[in-house]
Formats: sequence, C-alpha cells, structure tokens
Amino acid sequence: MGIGSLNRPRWLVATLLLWSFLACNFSSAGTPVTLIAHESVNVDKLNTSTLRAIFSLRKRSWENQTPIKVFVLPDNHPLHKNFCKTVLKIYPYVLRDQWDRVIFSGVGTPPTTVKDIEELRRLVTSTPGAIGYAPGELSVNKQQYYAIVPTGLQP
Amino acid sequence: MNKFAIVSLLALIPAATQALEIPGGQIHGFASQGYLLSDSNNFYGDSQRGSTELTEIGLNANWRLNNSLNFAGQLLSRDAGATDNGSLRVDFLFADYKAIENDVTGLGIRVGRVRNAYGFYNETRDVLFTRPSILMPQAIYYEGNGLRELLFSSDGAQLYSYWDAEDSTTSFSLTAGRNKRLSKDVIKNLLGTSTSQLIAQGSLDHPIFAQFSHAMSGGRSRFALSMYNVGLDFDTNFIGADGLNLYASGYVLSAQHNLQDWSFTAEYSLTTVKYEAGRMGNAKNDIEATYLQAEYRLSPKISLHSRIEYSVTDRDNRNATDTQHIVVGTKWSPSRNWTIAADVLGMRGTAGIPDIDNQNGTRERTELLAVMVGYRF
Repeated sequence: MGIGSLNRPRWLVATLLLWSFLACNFSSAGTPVTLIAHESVNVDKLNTSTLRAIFSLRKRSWENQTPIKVFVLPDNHPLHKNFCKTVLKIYPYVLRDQWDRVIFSGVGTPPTTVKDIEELRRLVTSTPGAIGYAPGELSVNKQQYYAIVPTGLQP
Repeated sequence: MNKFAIVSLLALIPAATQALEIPGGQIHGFASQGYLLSDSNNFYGDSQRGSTELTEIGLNANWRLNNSLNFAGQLLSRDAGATDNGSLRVDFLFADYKAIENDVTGLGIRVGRVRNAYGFYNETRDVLFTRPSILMPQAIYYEGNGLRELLFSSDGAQLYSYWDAEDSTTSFSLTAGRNKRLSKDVIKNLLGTSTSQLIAQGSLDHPIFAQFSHAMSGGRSRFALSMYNVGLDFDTNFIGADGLNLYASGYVLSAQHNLQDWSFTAEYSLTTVKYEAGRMGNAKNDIEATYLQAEYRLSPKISLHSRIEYSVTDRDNRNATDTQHIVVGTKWSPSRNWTIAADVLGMRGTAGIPDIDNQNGTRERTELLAVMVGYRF
C-alpha cells in the first residue's frame, strides 16, 4: 500500500513553503514533482495511460468506486508545467485544450484549479477521491508512478 | 451599446476569475465581442462600415450526481449579423450515464440536447478560446451559410465509448436525433431570403452523426473520421405543389499534430446533397472542402496562426463554384481569463459569405479584418 498516515511535521511545512517559493522563481526544468492522493484512494501505482485518462477527465472513478476529483495548479505554474512534461508527457497547452473541450461541451467533470501548492495539498488531503501533485522526487519504476500520501515525500 | 454593457458586466463579476464551485460541480462562462471591417461584401452586419454584430455569451454548469450519472447544460446568446439574433437559448442540456468504466475502457450514453461530433471544432465552436481563429474555418463548418444550427446539436441520444492503449486512445460516438422544426431564420439562412419566402415550413429529419477518433501520445497527434446523414423537408406555400426534400450525407477527415511551439491541423470534407423536388425533378451535387492550418506559439501568451481554405459547392463544376480563403491572425492572452484576437482574411469566391447580410447580392472578392475580445471563467 502506498497510502500511509497524514503526519506532517512542522519542518516539512517550512521546506514546502521554501519549495513553492523556489518554484515561483526558477524555471520548471528542475522542479521535482510527485503525485499525491487522498487516503481514500486505495491504489499504490498508476501508469502513464491511467494517469492520462484521469487528468484528461475520461476516467471518473477509482476502482473502489470513489469518484475521482482532480486538483491542479494554474497553467503557468512551474510545477504544473513540470507535471505535464515529466509525468503525463503532454504539452500543457494540449492538456488545456482537452480541458476546455470538456468544460464547454459538458462531457465531463473539469479539474479544480487552485492558486498555490499549499491549497492544493490541503484540498487533496481533505477531499475523498482527490488526486493532485506536489513538489518532491517522483518515484518511478518501469513507468509506474506511486500515488503517495499528501506529505509529498515517500514514507 | 447594450451588448458591451453585458460583456462588461460579465467581466466585472469579481469572484469569477476561476470556475464557480458548486457542490458536485462547477459553473463556467464566457463572453466575447467582435469587430468586423470588410470591403465588397458584408460579413455579420454592415461590416463594410464596421460591424459589432458578433457577440457570444455563454454560461454552463456541470453537476455530478454520483459515479455514473452527470448532468450538464449551457445557455447561449449569439449575435452574428443577420444569421443569428442574440436570443437566449439552451445550447445543450443532457444527462450523461456512464455504464461501464475500468482502467482501459468506458461506455456511456447521453440523453437530451447533445453536441454532435463533427470535425475537431464543432462541439465548442462558439467559444473563442477553443477555436483556432475568430471565424471558424468556413470550408468545413459552413458558418456563414447557416448550417451551424443543423450541425451543432441534436435532441436525442448519444452513445460514446473509448479504449485506452499504452500510448493511445481511441474514441467513438454515435448520435441520433429526433426530427425538429426549422425556424424561419434558419430557413432564410439556408435558402436565401427570396427562396425562403416560398417555403411554408421546414424540418430536419433523422439526423445521425458518428465519429471515430484516435489520439496518440496524450494528444500529440490526433485523427478523426466524422460521418453524418441528415434530411431536410420543406413544404411550399403553393397548394398542390410538391415540397422539396434534401438529403445530405458526408464525412470529415481530420488530422492534427502538436509540437512544443507548432500545431498543424488539416481537415477535409465531402458532402453529397440529393434534391427531390417532385415534378421539378431531382438533382445531386457534391460539396468538397478542405483547409490546412498552422499555429505557432511565440510565448505561452502570444500565438500566431495562418490557414488556407479551399471549397467547391459543386464538384462537377469546380471552376465556377470554388472559393479560397487565406487567414492570418494572432491571439494574445494577457491572463487565463482574457484573450484578444485579430485576423485578416482574404476571400475569393462567395461560399461562406452570409447571403442574408448581403441583400443586394454578393461579390467575388472580400477582404476582412476581424478583432475580438474574449473573457472566460
């Protein structure tokens, strides 16, 4: 199981604040990104294809029938750009086109865009079925991405 | 300038820079206002003197009842010269039941007023942010010819499905609509002012739309085949006279390749129209259209685009019925909510020129400048 408890020591919060500061001030190239999910999301591994289905809004519910809720940062946020490039391997503008088609044709539930990393983390932590991303090293093993606790770090 | 007031009001909604979150759903909206200046022919209003008769305002909501049942709807007001009058209408409104979903596939049905899948852009054609330029490619989407109403949505059912492979997605949708009465305005758009006066009533019969699409590498390359079949039934004002029946069927081939800075799009359509006019006889003609489009992103906020369009309204009489458009334009999005677009169009031929904006007839050449400001949340 990749989902653990939600302990979040204070030093970690401080580190994260520093991360978001750095993320705002430097190019996206070096911003490590990791997947985070609510503890109700009872999966530990997601491959690229499934992640694309989730973030392109085709897939609507987890295997345990919890509805999927997608949380993202604004399009121009370095962490969002890096998530698109390194995890989804989709250009951010292509993903935006896909979302706009969903939003303005009504064929799915659009993602919720939040203003910063802290809010994204807070909402993913508190919303059943939520998935998002946070700064941190991505754990990759043969194209399997690990959805982990919302601390943003491997347990 | 009442519509400027509406656009400004929408833009001033202070909280609406993001979607409005409601329990189980979201509310989104858009508003855009265009300015058109042309020579030789009018395009949406009296554009030879400068026209502001291109306004689109929409408000939509989606709501998830549970895992398998979604609802979505959109209200739209669209003014486009004499071809559309700005009245408020239900653009789409449907229930979406997803019967099957697992890691690799999904299958569902939408019932209500649903979007027809036709080419790449039909489903969101009224939203400036989702279409490539201010005016839709006339060659495939026939906006100026009044076909928008026929292509856009169906009151009926839509079956949809998709299959995810390791690096690709294949989708399918099939839409069957019920017959619907055509408004006087739509008939006037389709047949022109003088012919439409001979028509007592008209209806759209048994519309069917199907689309296969295939996207590779998360949408880097995508392809679509759209097919459709609709009937149009007109009754004339003359007692004892035969009515006019039209059967239009055809397909659209679509392809797009997206690179980091460039996007290339091409679409081709062939439509066969059969006319049955009783004792007046029968006829048939093929309408062919294609375009090639390139977009270049100078930066995340500024893009340039150009497009060449070619269409013939009678393939057996190519030289007399061909139309060519060249479009060059730019879009600037200073923030996620705002876009300002400018296009220059050179047109030779009259396909795509709205007849009812040109009551004294159309001329062969048109140059058009279009500027549009759009807001979304």
